[in-house]
Amino acid sequence: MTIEDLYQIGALYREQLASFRAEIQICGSGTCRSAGAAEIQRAFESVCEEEGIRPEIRIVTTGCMGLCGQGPLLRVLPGDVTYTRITAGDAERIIREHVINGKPLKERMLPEDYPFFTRQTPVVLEHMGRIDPESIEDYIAHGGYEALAKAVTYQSPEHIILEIRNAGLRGRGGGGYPTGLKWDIVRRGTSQQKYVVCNADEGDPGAFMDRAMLEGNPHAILEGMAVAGYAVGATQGFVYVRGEYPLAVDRMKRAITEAERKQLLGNRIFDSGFSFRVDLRMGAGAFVSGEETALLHSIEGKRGQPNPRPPYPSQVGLWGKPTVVNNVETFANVAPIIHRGARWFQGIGTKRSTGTKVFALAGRVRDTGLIEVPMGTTLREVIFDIGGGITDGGSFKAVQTGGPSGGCIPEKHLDIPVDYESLAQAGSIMGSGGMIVMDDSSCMVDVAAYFMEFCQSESCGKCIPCRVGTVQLSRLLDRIRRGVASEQDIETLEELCVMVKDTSLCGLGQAAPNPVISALHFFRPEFERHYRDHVCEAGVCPVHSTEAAGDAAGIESGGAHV
Amino acid sequence: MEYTPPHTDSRHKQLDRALSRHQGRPEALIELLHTAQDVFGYLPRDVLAYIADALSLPRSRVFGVASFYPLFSLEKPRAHEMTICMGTACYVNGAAALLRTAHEECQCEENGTTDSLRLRSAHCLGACGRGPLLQVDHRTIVDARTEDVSNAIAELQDPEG
Ligand SMILES: Cc1cc2nc3c(=O)[nH]c(=O)nc-3n(C[C@H](O)[C@H](O)[C@H](O)COP(=O)(O)O)c2cc1C
Ligand code: SF4
Ligand code: FES
Ligand code: FES
Repeated sequence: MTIEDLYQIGALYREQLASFRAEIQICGSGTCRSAGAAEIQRAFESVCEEEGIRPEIRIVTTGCMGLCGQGPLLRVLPGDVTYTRITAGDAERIIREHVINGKPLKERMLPEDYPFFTRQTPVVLEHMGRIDPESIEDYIAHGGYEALAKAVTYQSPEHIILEIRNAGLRGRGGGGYPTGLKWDIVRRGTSQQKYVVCNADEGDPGAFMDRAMLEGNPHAILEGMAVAGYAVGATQGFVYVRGEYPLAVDRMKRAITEAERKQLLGNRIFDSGFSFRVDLRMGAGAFVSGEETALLHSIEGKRGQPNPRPPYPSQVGLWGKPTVVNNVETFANVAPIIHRGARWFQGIGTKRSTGTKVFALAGRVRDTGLIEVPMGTTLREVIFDIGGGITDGGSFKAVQTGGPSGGCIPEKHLDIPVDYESLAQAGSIMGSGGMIVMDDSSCMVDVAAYFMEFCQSESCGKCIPCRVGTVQLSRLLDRIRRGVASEQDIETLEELCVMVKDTSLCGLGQAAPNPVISALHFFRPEFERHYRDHVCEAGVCPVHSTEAAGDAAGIESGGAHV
Repeated sequence: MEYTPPHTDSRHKQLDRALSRHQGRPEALIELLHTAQDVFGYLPRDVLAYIADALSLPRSRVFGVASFYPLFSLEKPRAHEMTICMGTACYVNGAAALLRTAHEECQCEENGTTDSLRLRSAHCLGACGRGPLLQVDHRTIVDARTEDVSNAIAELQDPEG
């Protein structure tokens, strides 16, 4: 494979695409798949058969189109008309009226200026929901693997790392560590053998960015990994995919095989001296295994438990060798940067948080889905302008970012820009991109307890502060929830939060108190209403009346389970 | 006790093929456990022992890894499985009520079983846009309500159905 071959594959495929009379794209990713996308596809295929136009129409299953809450989504080209809430029964009308007679169904189509889409800046999601994730040719036809070709043919590893550093790319898996710096440490490692690992474990409940990318554009991730491999001097990569995502596993496996067949992975890529292979590993449901040292243990076939850092994986990683560990979205940013340059990337976002961030917008917001916005966009713009505000005209209460390691942000901070530093200042974190909107139907005590129970059940038990601390914290929160806590309990809760945060071994324990700390900080009166007045205004918690409280407390001291 | 698989069982052939593909490398343990679970539906103890021997790993290590990861099941599956997503997005849309209904109607706890059904809660099924999510065997129900849970349980536990 040479660059010319690559261009030729792309040109041929584009010609093929142009030969169709029309194209029907059906979203087959997470939410739409659950809502029946496969059946819809069959219906469209059979109506095209009946009308005798099947060979002239391209019908393709794509990745997530973004507006998951109004799914299943379908797009008709030419014209780029998007239909929402499609059923198999819609096939006849859409084919006959729109595809054959050229009259889109006005009342069913999404307005072209629908703010959910017009307010976004797609970089890593540019081709998502538009290309066929099972066709490497389609990816190539959209400029795929050109960045890799350019990198290994014309650029030195040092140059690439400098470009990534200048772009200011920071890790999208949560921590925000500068990617170029990490690569540079691995490049300088003296070992012959080095590795590149893609963290696709995505354990944050309520987040589906990585799943969508694995399912919707797997080659973009592989291309980013290969560029990383070239930059740091690694010849082997691993993608570690969450075990609960069978479709993502299949798509990624298929993408690896196709890339090998086209010699875009393997020996002497683009006739350069660079060789790179990628293998897939499947997780098995442990949230803590997404922590980078734990993830490496899991790839080695062991229990996915963390180690103390330092040493960092960039120095001592997989089988003791220098290893780049980056998130899916981090890798997906690499090809665009190589393509368009660091200066272009810097121009998006803020000074210290460059580029865009993908969020999974969910919860009590009208339009849920996958969005990509420049860093520095405010939370208000995301929730109200893009997301269309609160479901059923309810009122906004809080937005949760960073999952079990993050916090809840109240109304008064809605105008802070979404960047690493601002979110941290507001007591939350950027996290990997889960953004859950809550209204009055959520109780902040209950939400704090919910996250603590999550951390407790996911604690690997290796260190005592986390293993024991999360149980204690859960118990205390449950006492508040049941309206039987004392002022003393609140003090204990706060002290314990600090202790667990400061003394736990890995990020899970260190961040587990965050949701509680931020809830206490912003919603203290709501906690007080529970333990002083025995009232849960959201009507979620099983708070007891004063008399019953005594009994419940008695049960508790007898060692009730949490 | 040395375990010899019954070679007439084609499922063992699949496992053996995976074993030879990985050439007995111990780092392939987790992949082999995935294969075994795919093939047998769960991880029977004798199969774990067989894998341990084939990889020359202590059995305690293999049991330790298998029990660490929640997706590996050491228990024989029931005829049906119901999963309720308790991920954050589903939770704020009322998933707890679904789980309560399921507990009541199956008279079993989370991750508990009845004769014919295993009830599980999941952290996130990756389709958060239309939560709460309910999975019954391989069928997924979006925007699920408590009636969906009741109906599904009634259907599954009906010996005629
Ligand atoms: C408990 C825990 C779970 C984590 N889970 C993930 C995950 O699912 N995906 C991810 O990319 N990073 C996860 N991380 C962060 C990783 O340790 C690591 O920082 C990240 O993969 C680095 O990639 P990045 O620099 O591209 O963000 C987790 C960290 C902790 C402490
Ligand atoms: S902090 Fe928790 S998850 Fe991390 S090593 Fe300690 S016990 Fe395990
Ligand atoms: S899954 Fe279809 S739009 Fe997101
Ligand atoms: S939170 Fe239920 S599918 Fe993600």
